[in-house]
Amino acid sequence: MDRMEDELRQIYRRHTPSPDFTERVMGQVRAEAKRKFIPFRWAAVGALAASLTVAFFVGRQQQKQQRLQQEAELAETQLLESLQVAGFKIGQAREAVLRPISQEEVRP
Amino acid sequence: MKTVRLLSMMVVLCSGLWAQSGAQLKMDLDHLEKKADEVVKVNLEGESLGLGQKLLAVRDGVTSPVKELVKGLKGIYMRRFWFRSKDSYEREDADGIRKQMSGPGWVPMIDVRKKPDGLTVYSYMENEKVAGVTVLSEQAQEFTVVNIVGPVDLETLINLGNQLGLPPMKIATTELPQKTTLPPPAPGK
Repeated sequence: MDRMEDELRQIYRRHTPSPDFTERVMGQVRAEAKRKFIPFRWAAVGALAASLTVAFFVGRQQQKQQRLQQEAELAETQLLESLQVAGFKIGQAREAVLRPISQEEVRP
Repeated sequence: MKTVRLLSMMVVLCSGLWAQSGAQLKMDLDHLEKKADEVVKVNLEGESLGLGQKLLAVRDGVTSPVKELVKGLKGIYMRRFWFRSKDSYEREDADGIRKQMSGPGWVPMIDVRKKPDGLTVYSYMENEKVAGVTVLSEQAQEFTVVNIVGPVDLETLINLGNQLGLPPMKIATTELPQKTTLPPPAPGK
């Protein structure tokens, strides 16, 4: 029992901190804060880079999409226009073939 | 190794030849282009044609026969030239085109000639089916050739010419040379 009391007394005895105690504690706190800040900074830089990359690719994709849309619209217009011209001319030719020959045309 | 390379080259060459239909004409009309005051050139094939076909397939207001007609096309080529003055070109200027259509497969369907104008419609037959159509129109101040590659339903095409079942058209001119432009003549004149 005495031994135990002695041990407790030893543990709970009043310690006088060394003169540089505060300095050492504050130094450790600063070091810890710095250690935590570096990964956070890198994470922020990484997130920013990732956001920029995503924004770049999304922008490029949108540009590509827009270009494709414009190309498709031009192709569609040209396609229809060409078909219309061909159809119109064929219609004209058919009309000319089906048109009854006038007397003026029959006369020599 | 040499044999493999030679064989692969032959395969590439043969596939290229196979891919190009006999209905496709060589639009060698640079001499007419130089004389013309206004030029419209359309070359639609491959990817660009595919884009137009896809867009047209989902368009409202386009009739299904038109969509069907467009879906089967493999290429469409058009050259339109307008001339400020009459007799700016000779009939012989289009001989290169006419000569190509004297080859196998081509059949002159309609040939209307009323001097100095001429309008000829040729069809390209493959396995007894229309696999292409060419329209050659020669007028005093206008020359037009349209070469359509692929199966063509003429009735749908004529209806299309009358602008049936179509949204209002925008005029698309490509590769227009920097020349004084004339207003295109009214259709049928």
